[in-house]
Amino acid sequence: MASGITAGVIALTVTLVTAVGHSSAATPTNSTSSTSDDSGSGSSDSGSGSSSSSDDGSNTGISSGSQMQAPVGGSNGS
Amino acid sequence: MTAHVYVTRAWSCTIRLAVTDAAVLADAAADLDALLDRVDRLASRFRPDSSLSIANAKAGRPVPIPRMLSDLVKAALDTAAYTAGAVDPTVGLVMHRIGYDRDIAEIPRHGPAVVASAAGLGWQDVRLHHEAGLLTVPLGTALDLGATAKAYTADHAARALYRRYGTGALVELGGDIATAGLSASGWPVRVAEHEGGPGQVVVLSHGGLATSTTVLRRWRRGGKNVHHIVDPRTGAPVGGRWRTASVYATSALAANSASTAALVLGEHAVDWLGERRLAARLVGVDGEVHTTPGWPAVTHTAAA
Repeated sequence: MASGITAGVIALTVTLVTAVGHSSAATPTNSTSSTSDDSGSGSSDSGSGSSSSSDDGSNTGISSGSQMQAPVGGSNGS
Repeated sequence: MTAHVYVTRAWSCTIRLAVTDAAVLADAAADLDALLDRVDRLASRFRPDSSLSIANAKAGRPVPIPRMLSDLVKAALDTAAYTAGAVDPTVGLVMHRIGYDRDIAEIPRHGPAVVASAAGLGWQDVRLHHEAGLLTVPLGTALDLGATAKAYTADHAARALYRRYGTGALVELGGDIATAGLSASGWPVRVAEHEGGPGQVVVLSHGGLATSTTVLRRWRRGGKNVHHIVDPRTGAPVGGRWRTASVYATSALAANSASTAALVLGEHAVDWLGERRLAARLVGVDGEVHTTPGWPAVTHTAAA
């Protein structure tokens, strides 16, 4: 689906919602006795269908993009 | 294509969420934030009260752990098996020894020399009863899930958001990218050693993409550069042929497993990637870029 994409074909509209001052300073809890609790986390598939690192590569899902194309994400070293 | 993007910071890195349905962006972003906080409380090595730190502190004894941490540890052990130990989660004490014992922003830039040692490393000695949620960290070692937790969480989040909201979703956690659902024209993503650096735009229709590098998260010990990617065979930061590896695979976890392994494997990385038919972009220590079959060509050179 992604092949043949060139600059000008796609009008990419990016709506940026930037969270300022994000903090992960939630109150720490000892969760050693808890089980999967997905309330509010949007992560109800904990443990099921997890990605396997033993998957062989399927290279059909990546194609060239125009260097003029506005990216929606970045794969940078971190 | 119209993509709606949420950007924030967590885990000392940039977080992006792109969705195809603008109406769900705010709710999806809140879900992602909650998930990141949850994983941090479970698996952070820098929080003494995290479930992982508690298990590490009780090394040698079985410790009950929450289901999601069990999933994270399983992903790390699967990765270790897939890479034949090139990516080993038992490097926790090695990380501590080389100075990575706190958030990267808080690590002193300089310090005394460190002595590399692989003594005690061995992912095969980790005992995980996944279904029961019981983890035994080998005595004399500590788990560090830093090599796999971001990618696992990106996959988890993308799938969960797609299932909950029916929207195409791309989740980027510090350069580890997962996708789920459809985007009519694919997801344009910029691949680079560091944000804003020279690189290449590729388009993903599905799957995951990850980049590992030794050029970031660096500090100095004994007058030498030290970084966060450790060769489990030596217990020292890797110093092989490649300084950066980007890999496309069926998931972010598979991609990150391979990109990290590629740096550890050095001269053998190209053959290893080829045997697994993984498309990759490798940057040598001299800056030269090498790609494996399946990696898309640059349509025209980006500004360097």
